[in-house]
Amino acid sequence: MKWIRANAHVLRLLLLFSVMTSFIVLSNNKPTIYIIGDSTVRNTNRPQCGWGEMIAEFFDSTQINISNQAMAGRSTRTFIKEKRWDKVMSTLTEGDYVIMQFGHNEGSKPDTSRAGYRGVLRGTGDETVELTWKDGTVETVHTYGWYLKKFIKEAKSKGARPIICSMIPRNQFVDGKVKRANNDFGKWAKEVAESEGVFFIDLNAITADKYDVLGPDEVKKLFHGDHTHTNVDGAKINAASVVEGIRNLSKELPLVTYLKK
Amino acid sequence: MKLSKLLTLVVVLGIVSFTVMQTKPVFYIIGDSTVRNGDGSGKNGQWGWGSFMAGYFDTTKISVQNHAIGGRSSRTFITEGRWEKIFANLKKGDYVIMQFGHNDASPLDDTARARGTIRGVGNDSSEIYNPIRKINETVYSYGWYMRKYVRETKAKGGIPIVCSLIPRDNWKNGKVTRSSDNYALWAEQVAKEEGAYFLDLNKLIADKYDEMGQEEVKKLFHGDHTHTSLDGAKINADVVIQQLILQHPGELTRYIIKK
Repeated sequence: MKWIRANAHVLRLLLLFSVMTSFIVLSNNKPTIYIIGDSTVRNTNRPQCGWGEMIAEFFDSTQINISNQAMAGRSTRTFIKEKRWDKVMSTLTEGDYVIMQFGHNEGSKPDTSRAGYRGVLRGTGDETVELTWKDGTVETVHTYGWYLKKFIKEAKSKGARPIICSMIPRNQFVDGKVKRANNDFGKWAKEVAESEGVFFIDLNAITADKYDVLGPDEVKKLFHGDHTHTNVDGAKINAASVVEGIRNLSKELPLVTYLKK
Repeated sequence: MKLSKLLTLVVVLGIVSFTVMQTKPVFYIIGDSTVRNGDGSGKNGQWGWGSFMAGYFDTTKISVQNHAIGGRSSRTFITEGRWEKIFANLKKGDYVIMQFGHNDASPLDDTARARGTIRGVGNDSSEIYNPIRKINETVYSYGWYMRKYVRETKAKGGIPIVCSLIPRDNWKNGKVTRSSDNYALWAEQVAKEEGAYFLDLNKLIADKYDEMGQEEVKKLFHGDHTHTSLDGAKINADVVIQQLILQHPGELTRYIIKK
């Protein structure tokens, strides 16, 4: 005790120093890639699997964290309504990334029915529709593009970098070619990325190009149960497509430096 | 345009195109006649799957070179100096896809070819007199030679892709004969142990052949039970590209063009 009292000054300095260094270590913490989206991004209902679950193997985990917050069945609208986006925002910090892929669950006409609870308005405009739920609450539903812009603006406000992906294609072939989303959700995702000046990965096109080469028989093996949900092999291909998209952006996007060499 | 300006432009373009050429990755294909038959033009009706690889890639971004050659084993492709030439040019980010096995079961030291290798993946060797090269030669196992390709590719920063040999048109009780207890198995063992990509062409194509049946599969060969026809080689090439998309070695899938 005598020794402690005698060296109290030094000890106090030491304590201060250790607090400061731990703060520096914390603030220098590795960045996180937040992934948000639907069941084609995260799907724990095996043998179905989303690409967000298979993407970690491409990254150097000593340099970057991956937090896959995607949730099956969610649209841009319900992802926000259920406070899932708030949860991401609460920990999002400068230098982080937000990769988003929505589109599979947006298509229904927005209303208060069982089918319409997750639908959004089509396009990227500012139009809205007001829904009054049974309990009297009023919900304002926006367009797909409006919700994407919300994610982008809020992610940017935290100093994070948003990256928009167009949705992966379904196992639907027309005349031997896979059906693309370049007239609806894929197109709108791209338009929003361009108007907001954020990074865009045309996941729909990159993957559809691969599916076209593979052909319907092989693509069928990448899905389970229906024509929307990928299995582990499908998820791996799609994760590789996201990484391809990241590499294609390598000139502007530092994210590429976190990929395994 | 003034002559001096034109000259500057030519020089700049020359430098740019040279730089592009230098940095373009190469997809090297090595193997036997089922990968490239003759000069690769199919003039004898036989084709190898490697002849169709370039068609799948954006060759402005990746160079596809088919160095496979008929009659060679994992051993003679090396002893003839063919691998050495590739190795000398091999650079970081290049790919080497290899398929050997069809010619490895031959004798080690006969006067016709002297192309055989020791069966398996062991480190055992055999001292022979090679009557063709007229020198003493140490012959190793199939696995030993395959390991050499894989290790040396990796040493240069390249990405090795091992293929098991495509099946022959040999049938037993309505099923195509597989090499799952010999060359295909050994290729897989080497790939797994050395951390190379593995394309199990033997199994995947045999599955396809079994489904098609003997009568249909016969049309996929030309002249004998080993060498594929145009259609056979194309089916095999399809399987190769499908596997490359599934396994996406390195950045390779970036260069695959849409169909």
